[in-house]
Amino acid sequence: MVILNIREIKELIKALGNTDIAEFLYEAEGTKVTIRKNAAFTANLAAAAPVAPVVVPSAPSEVSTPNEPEVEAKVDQEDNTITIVAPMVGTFYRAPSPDAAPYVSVGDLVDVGQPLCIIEAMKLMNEIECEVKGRILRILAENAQPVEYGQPLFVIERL
Amino acid sequence: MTVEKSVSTHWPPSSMDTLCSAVLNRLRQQGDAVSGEALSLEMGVSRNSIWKCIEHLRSGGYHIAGTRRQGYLLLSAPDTPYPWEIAYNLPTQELGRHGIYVAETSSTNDLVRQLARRQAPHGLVAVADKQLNGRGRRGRTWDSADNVGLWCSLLLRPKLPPTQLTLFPLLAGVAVIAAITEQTGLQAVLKWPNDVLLDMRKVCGILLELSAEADTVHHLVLGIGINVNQELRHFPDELRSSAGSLRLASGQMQLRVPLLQQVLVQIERRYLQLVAAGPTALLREVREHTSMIGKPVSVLAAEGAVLAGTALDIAADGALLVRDDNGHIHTVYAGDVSVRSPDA
Repeated sequence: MVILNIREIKELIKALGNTDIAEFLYEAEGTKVTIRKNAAFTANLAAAAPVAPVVVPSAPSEVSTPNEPEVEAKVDQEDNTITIVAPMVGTFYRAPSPDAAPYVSVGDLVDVGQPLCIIEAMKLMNEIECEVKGRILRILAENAQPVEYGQPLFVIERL
Repeated sequence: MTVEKSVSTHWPPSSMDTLCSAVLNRLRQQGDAVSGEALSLEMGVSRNSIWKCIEHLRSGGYHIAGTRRQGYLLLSAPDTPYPWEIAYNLPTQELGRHGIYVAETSSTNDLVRQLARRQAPHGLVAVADKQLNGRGRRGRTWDSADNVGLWCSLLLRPKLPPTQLTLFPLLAGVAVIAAITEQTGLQAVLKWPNDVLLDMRKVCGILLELSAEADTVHHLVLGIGINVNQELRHFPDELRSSAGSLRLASGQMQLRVPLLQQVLVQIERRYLQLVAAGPTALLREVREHTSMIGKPVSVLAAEGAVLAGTALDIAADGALLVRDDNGHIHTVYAGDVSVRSPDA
């Protein structure tokens, strides 16, 4: 394993800035480096995105099967939170239908197996269930907006 | 149309379901009368149980003659999608080998979701004669009148990562098109992603519900509603210009059980091919049946945003590629797509 120097860490931060990766954890020989994007900043970016719901403008290259980035929920030991990410590309919905109340809001207590949102692609409705018992700290995607594979959706504090 | 009598079945099958299935197989195999005594011996149950089973089947629409001397003779079976009717002579490996039939339910998708949590197997099919709360996407209702349609949901436990499941809606759409052609000779078209149209009228809607984590699929519920024997009077006013049925398009009544068997056969064939050889053949078939490719379309997305452009192609993950008037190519994953006249 290689221990990263400051220059390499700076380069990593720069490289991660251009991706959807919300958090990067590196551990080697007792040294631990965590790079985490500011969630509020990410959310603002999403809100400021042009209004083109469910339509993801893309270069043709994005059409092919994506690489396999790490998409498992990331747990940070220090602040005890878990980030739920999108398991597939599609449209993010916070409620089961346009007239219904959202599944969850910031501050809600949630339990294992509780539905958090739906992601739709081609009439395939993927109901995302909560993996932990906890409290919703942040909701990072906007209702009825497109989300990418691996994009962070919720930050949940474990309780 | 005479309304058939029906009896519900259970999952897991009740002892009566199992006995009915075995007795029917025996009566069909013989093609001749079988005595109550012989049935009782073979099934390992009392004569009284056999008698109850025959009465149960009769109340479910089977015509079974019975004489003291000769025994029981099956005269006719109803076109009711009981699990044993679906599984009878069904040339599939896994789909439709198990099933449940109910006269009415809120939604067959909801029913299968419940059964999935009770460890029901891959391939289980649930059918209802009537859905009280049939669902479309985003809270829309699906009109599922009594007995005239095929309202069913299939439980799948595909051994594929969630990212590869976006092709399933299209797979189901082209499978239904193939089943309709096998059954009626009619050639339907696919409206992306998976509406099936005959004479420009929608005859089939498909809705899938997935339960998955990042890299594990728990189960996939594939709900299919096919308008089979509706006449225009069966549809509510607001659907009369856009809804169709196999009967309206073919001019004759169609049987539901053989149609469902064909749907299962066609889905399984494409599913096994997708797992074994990848999506190339499926995508080719989807492109062949998608009438909107090359035409001007408008996409009505969530919250009312509209994208106008030309439908270019189906992407490898099943998405629709649309080129807008500025030449930008958009990858569309959801929304209502309609073909517009070039001047609109």
